[in-house]
Amino acid sequence: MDKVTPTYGGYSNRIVTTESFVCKVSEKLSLEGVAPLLCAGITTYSPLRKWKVGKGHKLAVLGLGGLGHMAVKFAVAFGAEVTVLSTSANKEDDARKLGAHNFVNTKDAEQLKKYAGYFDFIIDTVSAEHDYTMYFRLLGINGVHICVGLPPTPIQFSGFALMGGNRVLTASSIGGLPETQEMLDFCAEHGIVSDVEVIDMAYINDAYDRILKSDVKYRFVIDMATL
Amino acid sequence: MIAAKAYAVQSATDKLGEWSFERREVGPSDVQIEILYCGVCHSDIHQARNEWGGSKYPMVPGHEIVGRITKVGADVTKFKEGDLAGIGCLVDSCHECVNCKNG
Repeated sequence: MDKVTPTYGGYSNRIVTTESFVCKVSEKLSLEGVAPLLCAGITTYSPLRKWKVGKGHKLAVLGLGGLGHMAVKFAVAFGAEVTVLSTSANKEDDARKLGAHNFVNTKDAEQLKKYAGYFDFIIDTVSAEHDYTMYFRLLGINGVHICVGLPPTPIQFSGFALMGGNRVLTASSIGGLPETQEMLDFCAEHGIVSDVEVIDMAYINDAYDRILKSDVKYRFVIDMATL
Repeated sequence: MIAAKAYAVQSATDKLGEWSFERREVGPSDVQIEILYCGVCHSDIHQARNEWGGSKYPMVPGHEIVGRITKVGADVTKFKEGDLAGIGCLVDSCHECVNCKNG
C-alpha cells in the first residue's frame, strides 16, 4: 500500500492485506479444493455468467486443465449441455466424470464434422497456439467463442469463419471481487470445489515441471503446513 | 513488521527456494491471515520466469490463497479472528479508476 514494496504472494505462511480484497470462505467445503476457485474458478465462472450460459445452451469446453475442469463443473451446474473438446482421446473418461455430457477428440475429422455449427458457446482455456478457425466452425449462428487462455503469440484466424454466422470472438480476464464472492457462495451452495493434488512446499519446482507437461489433475495446491 | 517465511524466486532463472521476509503491520482496515493452502497456477510460472515482462524480484508467487484470520484491524467489519478467508489475484487496486469502479 506504500506503492513501493511489492506485494508478496501466497507461497507463504501468512499475509496481511486490506479487508476489501478478502473474500469470505465457507466452512462447508474442503479448503484445499477451494484455493483454486480464487483464480481458476472465477476466471471461468465470470464469462459464463456474463454470457448467461445455462439451460438450453450447448457449450463446448476447449482444453481440460485447471481452467477447463472448472468450466465443465460450472456449466453443468448452470444447466447447459457440456461437451469437452480435446486433442487427447484418453481424456474422455475424465471429462464424463466431471459431468460433461459429450466428448470430441478434435484430431478426429469425422467427429468434428458431426459438431459443425453445433455450439452456442465455446469457452477456450488453451494457452498454447491452436487453430481458432477450426473451432469457429463448430459455432452456430451468433455463436460466441470466449478466450480465457493466453497463447504466447498473436492470434490468427480466418475472418470468413468469424463473420459467417455472425460469430462473436471475445475474452475475459479473471473477475471482480463482488463476483468472486458470489462464485464462492455459489460453490458452497452447490458443493463445487476444484479437483486437486495436494503437495508439500518443497515439491514446488517439480510441480512446475509437471504443469508444463500438463501432468496434473487438475490443480496443484500447496499445503502450507509443510513450509 | 511481521516476520514471514515463503518460497521465492530471486531472478527469472532461479528455482524457488526458502526465503524470509516481513509483512506490514496490521493497519486499521487490514486483516492478518495464516495461510493454509495456496493453489499453483500456470501464470505463477510465467511471472516467476518473467515470461510476460515486468516481474520484480525477489518474488513470492501465489494468488489462490485460503487461510484463517488471526488478527483484524480496529476498523474491520467483515471479518473476525478465526474466520476462513480467501485472497485471489486482486490486491491493493486503487478503487478510483474506471476498472476498479466497474468491479
